[in-house]
Amino acid sequence: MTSITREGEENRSLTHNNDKCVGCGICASICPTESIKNGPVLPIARGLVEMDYININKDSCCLCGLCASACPFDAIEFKINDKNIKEMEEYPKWNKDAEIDEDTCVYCKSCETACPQDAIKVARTLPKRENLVVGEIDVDQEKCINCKICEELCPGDAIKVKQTGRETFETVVDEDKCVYCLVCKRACPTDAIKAVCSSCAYQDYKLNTEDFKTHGNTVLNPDSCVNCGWCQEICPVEAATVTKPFEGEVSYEDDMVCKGDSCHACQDVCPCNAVSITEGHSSIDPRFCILCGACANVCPQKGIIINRTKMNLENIRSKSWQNRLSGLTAGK
Amino acid sequence: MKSICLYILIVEWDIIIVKVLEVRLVPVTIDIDKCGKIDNCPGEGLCIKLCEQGALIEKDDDVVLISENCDDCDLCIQNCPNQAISKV
Repeated sequence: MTSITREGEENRSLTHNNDKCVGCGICASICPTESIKNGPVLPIARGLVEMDYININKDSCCLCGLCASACPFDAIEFKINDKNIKEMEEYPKWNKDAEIDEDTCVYCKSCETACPQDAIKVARTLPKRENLVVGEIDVDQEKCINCKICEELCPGDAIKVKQTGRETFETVVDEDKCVYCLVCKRACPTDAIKAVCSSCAYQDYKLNTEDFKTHGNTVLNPDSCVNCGWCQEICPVEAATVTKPFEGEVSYEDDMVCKGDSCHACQDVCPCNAVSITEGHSSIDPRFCILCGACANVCPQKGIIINRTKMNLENIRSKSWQNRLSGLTAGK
Repeated sequence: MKSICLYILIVEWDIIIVKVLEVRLVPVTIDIDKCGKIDNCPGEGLCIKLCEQGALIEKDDDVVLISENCDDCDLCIQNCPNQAISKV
C-alpha cells in the first residue's frame, strides 16, 4: 500500500490499495505529471514477484486526485482534509453500478458461484422438508416379517427395522425423512406398508404455499465488485443489473500470433474472468469485459485492442481533467 | 518456435518426391552482458518462472535456453527486468 500526503492549506492524501488494483494502467496513462509507472503486471498477478502493480513517484506526484477519480476499481483513494473526494460534489462520480433486486432474487446462488471477485454472498433458509411433502404412512407390524427390504431400498434412509427384544422387531418410519415415494410399499413382500402420497392422490390438500418458499438475502459487496456483469448474465430471474464503467469493444490485431496455450497472460490478469483460451487462441467474452485494458498491457504480442467509446464517469467539471480523460476513450 | 521449410524435389523412377526439411531457428536470444543470471536478476530468474514450456531453465545458477521448447510467445522478452532477452 503506497501513501502520499501533503500538508498545507489543504491536507491531501493519496493511498494506493494494491489488493484492489489489477494493473490496468489507466492511472498511469492519465497522470498529468507522469508520476505513475506500471510495475511488472503479469509476474505480480501470478505471484512471482512481490511488488505493487503501480509505482507512484512521491516527488513528482502533484496530488491532484485525477487517478483516484478515474480508477474503475477504486484502488486509489484520495482525500482532502480527510474527506474522500468521491463524497465531494465538486469531483467526478462513476455511473457504474451492480445491483441485485431482493424482491426478484430466488437465492439460487448462481451469481455467488459465477462472481470472479467473490463479491456476492447469498444466505438462504430452505423450507422445512415436512412442509413440502405431505402424506401418511403406516406399517402393519402384524404383517411385517422384518425382512428389511424396505430399509435397504428406502432412498431417504427413512425406514429402520429395529430389534426390540430377542425375537421382536419394529419397523419405524422417520416422517421427517420420508418423501412418500412409495418404494417401500411396492417392495414389501407381505403388503405390510400402507401409504398415501399427497402428490399422487387425486385430492386436494390444504397446503400453505408460504411454507414452501426459500427465504434469504443476497449481499453484493461494492468494494470487491468490478462490475463485470457475470451476475447479470447468469441470473435466471433477471434480478441483477450491472452498469459497466466503460462502453466500447475489445478486439484483436489481424496479424496477431496468439500463443494462448503457453502464454495466457491476458487470462491471468483479467479481473472479470472474461478471457478463455480456445484452440490455443485468447478469446475475450465482451459480455464480461469491462474494457479496463489489463489484458492489453500484458499481451506480449501487443495484439489486444481496447476501443472505449464512452466512459461512465460524470460530473467532470475541470476542462484539463476532461482533456486527460478523453485519451481513455480515444481508442488504444 | 520459428522455423523455415525447405522443399526438395527429387525425381526418381518418374515419380516426383517432395521432401520437406524443417529447419528450426532459435527464436530468442539472451544477452549475457545484460542478464544478471539468477543471483543478480531482480526477478530471481523471472523468465524461467514465466516460461511454461521449459524453454528457459536453470543450470548452475544461470539461464539456459532450450530453443526446441520455445513456443515463441514472447513472455520472457516482455517481462525480463534486465531487458536481456530479444528476438534473433
